[in-house]
Amino acid sequence: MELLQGLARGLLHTLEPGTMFVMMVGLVGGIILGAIPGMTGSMGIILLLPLLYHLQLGPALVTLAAMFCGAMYGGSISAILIRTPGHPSAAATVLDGYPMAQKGEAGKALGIAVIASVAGGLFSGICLIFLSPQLAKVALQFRAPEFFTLAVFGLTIIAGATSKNILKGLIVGVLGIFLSRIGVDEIWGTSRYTFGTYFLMSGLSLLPVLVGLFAFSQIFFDLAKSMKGGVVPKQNIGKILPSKEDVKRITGPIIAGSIIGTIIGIIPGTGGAIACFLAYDLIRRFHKNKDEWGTGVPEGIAAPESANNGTTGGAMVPLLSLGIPGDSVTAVMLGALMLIGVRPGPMLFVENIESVYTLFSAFILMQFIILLLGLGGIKIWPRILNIPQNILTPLIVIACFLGSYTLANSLNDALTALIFGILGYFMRKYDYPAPPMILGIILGPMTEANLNRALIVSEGSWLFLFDSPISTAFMIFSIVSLFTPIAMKLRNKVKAKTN
Amino acid sequence: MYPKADLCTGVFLMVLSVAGYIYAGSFPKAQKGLGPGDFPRVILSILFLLSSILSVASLFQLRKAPEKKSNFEKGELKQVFLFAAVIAVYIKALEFFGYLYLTPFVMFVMMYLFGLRKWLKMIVISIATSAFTYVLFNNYLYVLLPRFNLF
Repeated sequence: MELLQGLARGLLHTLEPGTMFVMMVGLVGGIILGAIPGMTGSMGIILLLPLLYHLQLGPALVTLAAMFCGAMYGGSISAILIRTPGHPSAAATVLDGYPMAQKGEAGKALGIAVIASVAGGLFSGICLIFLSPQLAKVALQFRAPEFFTLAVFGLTIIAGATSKNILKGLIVGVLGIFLSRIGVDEIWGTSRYTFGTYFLMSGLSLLPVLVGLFAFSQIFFDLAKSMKGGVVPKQNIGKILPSKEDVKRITGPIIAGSIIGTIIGIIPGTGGAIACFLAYDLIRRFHKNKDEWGTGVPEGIAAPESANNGTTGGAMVPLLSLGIPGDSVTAVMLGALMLIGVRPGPMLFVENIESVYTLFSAFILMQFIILLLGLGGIKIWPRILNIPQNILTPLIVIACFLGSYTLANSLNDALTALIFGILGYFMRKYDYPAPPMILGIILGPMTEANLNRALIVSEGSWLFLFDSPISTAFMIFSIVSLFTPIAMKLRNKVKAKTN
Repeated sequence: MYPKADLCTGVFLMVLSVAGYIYAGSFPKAQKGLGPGDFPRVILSILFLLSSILSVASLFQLRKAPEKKSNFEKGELKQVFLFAAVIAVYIKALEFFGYLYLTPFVMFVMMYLFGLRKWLKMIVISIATSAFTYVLFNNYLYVLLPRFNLF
């Protein structure tokens, strides 16, 4: 009862003109930044700092959350239209979003993305409001063994994320893990495979690799297509709301994706990138038409988009209740809040409860505003694809350069993107999938660091894998996840031979 | 299926795995837990195993049915590498000529490579894009783009 009254007061505070204004600034700015490859929610939060200094705590929290949610949705726009995820959390959306746009259904793809994003955000927001204390306890259970087994489970998706050729997918994924180990070792501080170069000391950044593998490789493909006289089909922007049949198809993936995203978001140090691939693969495996995924099916957009936006509320659970960031964006958010003199954690709920209620109410309200902004923008965004390819592609090259350069103001990052672009082009030509490499680069550091910590604590004993129910469960999931696609393929081969 | 390409990839990765494994031997050993070279060695061993399976499978396939058709159109590779070279030179030259002055020329060249021949349109788009992105990133997003630095 007290919570509901608090939420009602919070809603009144949210509807004040000043708070609504800063929320809109955060939302619109977040969507735009999220849609630009290489510009992330973290950057948006840093840009908001001068504004935050002038705000009270309630509006400041609302602005930060709006930037976070807006950027998370915005990444799907460029993922669907130009095969370049705006940030790593939208990488899985490319797999079905771009093919659907290529079939002339960009409007439908964007419509599904915004609906799924809003659903994921709403679900995680409700969990944030009503289950924060309980979910925070779960977050505290995660130590090195749990993180390691979670990473192993994430890595087993590599086998499943490549339905065409599991061997090639595994090779690319393992190569991605190896590439993530270039640089200075997190535990011992040793330089590995840097060959004395200063640039490689910090390792390969994920964003330039992402921009290269997806965007630059697509640019080289478009160059080849333009030589053959190929044309991008004219976009059908007529239907932006999914049909009744599409709604039926995406409801299940949205529910599952939202749950997966919220759970992953709660776990500190994970984030939308892991959630989107986990949701995509897990939901695809249990889908009756799993072989159609990757060709532009609605479920393939709904699953990752609901998952990545599901992480927004989830990541704020440990941030607000424990002062521990759930992912990289909330880590920057924590820094921003500390800069304005606020320390998130248990005392936040005691000393500033009214501001927290304002945030909770605003979080739910902003999802509906994202829906309006998203559906309103659908009539505009796909028109980008009607720009002639000989103008659009050079514009995308400049955007890719800016995206990879912006990360660290480094031209070497832009060169990294180009090199991975060439690699990505040849990978596509010879059927080597790119997503496993991204997964390997994301999960490699988490795997090694936590394995090392767990082994140091357990003094070399591998029994830590089964010390807690959480790590035992993840190990079982991993074994099932790794061998199921192989077993299914063998079973299908035997069936085919028998027939 | 591309057995020839897969065989080359498999052999290349096997060589890379062995070289990386040997190199990892030079990293210091740890007294507790994993040393800096241990995890890379495990990963490279798995990579070696997988790439040898790929190589053997491709060899069998090549013997069954040799690859007949090239995967590339005539002149495609040349175009791709030319375009990549333009971007590489652009990135390197930015250190000296700066974003604002160099980008219009590169945009113009890229539109030309993609077959556009309307000179006035190309000039206007090149200059407008460069100016707009420069102002947006430099002045509003506080991203310091490379500046002219030749003298």
